[in-house]
Amino acid sequence: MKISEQKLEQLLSDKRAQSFEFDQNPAPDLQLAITGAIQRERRARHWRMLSLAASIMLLLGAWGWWYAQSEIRPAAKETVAAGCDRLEEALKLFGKNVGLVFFDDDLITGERLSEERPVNRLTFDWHDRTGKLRTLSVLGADSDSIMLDNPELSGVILFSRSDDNTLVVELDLVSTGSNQKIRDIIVLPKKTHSAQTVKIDNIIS
Amino acid sequence: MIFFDRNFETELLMLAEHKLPYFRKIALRIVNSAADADDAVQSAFIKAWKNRSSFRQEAGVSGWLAKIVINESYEVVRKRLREEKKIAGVELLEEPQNRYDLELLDRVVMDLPELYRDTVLIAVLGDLTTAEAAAELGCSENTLYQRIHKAKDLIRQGFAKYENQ
Repeated sequence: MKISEQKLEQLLSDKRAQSFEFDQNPAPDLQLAITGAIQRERRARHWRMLSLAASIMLLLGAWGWWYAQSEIRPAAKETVAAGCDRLEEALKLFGKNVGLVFFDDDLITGERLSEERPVNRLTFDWHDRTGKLRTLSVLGADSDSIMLDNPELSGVILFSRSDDNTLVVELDLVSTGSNQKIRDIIVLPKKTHSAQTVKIDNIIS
Repeated sequence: MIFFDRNFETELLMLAEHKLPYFRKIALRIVNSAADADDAVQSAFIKAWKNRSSFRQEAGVSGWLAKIVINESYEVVRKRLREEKKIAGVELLEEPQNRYDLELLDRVVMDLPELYRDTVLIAVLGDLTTAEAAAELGCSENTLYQRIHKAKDLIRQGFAKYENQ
């Protein structure tokens, strides 16, 4: 049996008439709670963004390091290898009585004093005035002297082996193109009967 | 998104300042306790902020919030009933003290489908005019009259169901 319509209206009216006493006006507390919730969420979002930015920076850093390792270093090795292979080929062509030097990509021939087979293969790097990397690849015997007289590069390169493990190389060159004097004495404390790259810092302008 | 957030925040704070008595009254009709009503309203406002992405622009924030207040209030009632059940160890609904009293009305309204429950709480038990209630519920006045009629019919059926138990 259903409740009568009259009874239902009476109940709804009673319900509507119910009154309760509130302790205080909660509006300030409510606004404080809402503002608090909003601030908490904003702080959390702020930290999330910071973490994301830090992760991106970290990834970029890692990628940069990986790129430097994988791209730059192998390229340097290839330069040395290419320079030495070219010298070997030139040696076959010109014979051991000719001083052979690759200045960047240009082959320069000079006068060579020693008649021994040139077993020391060296590559020297330096930066010229414009910052361009210059490369000099040379072949020489343990006691050797190469005299160069070329419009691009002139001077002398001396090889002197003091013992089995130490090779001293003296450079006294003038790079006419870049108007630079290259003077340096380099002591190589390891066996140098293989390709080796040496960075030259002592450039006299 | 940031612009929407700022607008929504302003709207919520404005509602908290100007329409608080309205939301309190809705909650009060359900929970029958001033303290619980305030808790339900506060919880509803915070829930509204957290779920603001589900808010649809075509509906008013006030009406949307009123529905959340109703849901939160019923959550308070359910929690209270669970606790009372634990203490008494019996199902309260099995032994209503007075079948036709206000407590039973509360339970019948609680069991109504959401659409009719909201209609009863906002349009029948609230202090709004028909036009205001229709705007809050997002329907026309004619539709609201039909819903009220249907809701009352469902309430009578609910009373009958409890009587038969």
